[in-house]
Amino acid sequence: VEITADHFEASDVKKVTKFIGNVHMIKGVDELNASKVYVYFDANKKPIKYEAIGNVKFTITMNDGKKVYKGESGRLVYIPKTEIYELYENVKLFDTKLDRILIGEKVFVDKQSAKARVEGSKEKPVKFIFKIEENNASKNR
Amino acid sequence: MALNVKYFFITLLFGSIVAAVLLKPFETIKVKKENIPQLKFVSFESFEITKKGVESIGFGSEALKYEKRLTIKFPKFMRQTKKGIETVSANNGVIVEDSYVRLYDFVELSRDDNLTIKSSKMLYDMKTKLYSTEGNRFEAYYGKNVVTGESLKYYQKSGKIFADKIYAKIFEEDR
Repeated sequence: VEITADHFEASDVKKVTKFIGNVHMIKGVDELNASKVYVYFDANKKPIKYEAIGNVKFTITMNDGKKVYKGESGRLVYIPKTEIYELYENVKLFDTKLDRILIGEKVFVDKQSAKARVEGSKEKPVKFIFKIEENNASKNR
Repeated sequence: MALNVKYFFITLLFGSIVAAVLLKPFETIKVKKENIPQLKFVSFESFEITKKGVESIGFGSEALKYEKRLTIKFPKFMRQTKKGIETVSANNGVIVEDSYVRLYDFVELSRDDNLTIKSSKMLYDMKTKLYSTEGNRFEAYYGKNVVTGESLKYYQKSGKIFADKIYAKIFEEDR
């Protein structure tokens, strides 16, 4: 995992490292930009959770390498152990393969199963935007 | 006129007064006491002892003690902290009494819990217990993770670290 940022704060006691300002993170084939990224460590100094906050823009490639999600959200959490991305707050997810856009309040993207699960809220229901290809016959009727 | 002894001394006195008043010394070197080493230590070891016992140990290959400062070659200091023993070393160092320690040339700070910070310069403020690279670049190693950047500040008491212009490489476990 490579991260560049304007500022950096680390606290031994809380075992968290904060990258602040124009944060760019590359994690294998996944990539994200955000205002802040917090990295949480365990006692052995191994990262156990990443949290991106503010103006998050991401590209997530599934482990099978076929499916790629691009998008943006207010907050993003990634757990290395489960390889699941949790996306929160005004999530826009663009499925580049199926050319569809998915909008919701909470989206879970599982890199292993290449599945995305969406949750909306009362005020903001889930929204799917996808293209329908009409064949010529139905057009000429 | 016989020049008896009295007139001789009067003339001598008069002459020295004139010399003192009129003649300017051609060259005087005023050497400040501060710039004269008072003591020289070779291959020394020093102990900071308080009521709690030995707080820190200092080593050096050579040191010159001036009135208000101590310059050291290859200084090395070891101190017990909450996170274990903290060692800081460099090629050169200056200790200004009860104020700060300035280290330069291959400065390395390392701690028992696998934290290492390297830089070309580092200033340690004795009052705030703050290490600062004062705008200089640094490399920090935390376990296998590496962070490089500028202007690092490390607060010894809280263990907090701040820095700018960061590039970090974080090592993840293989799944």
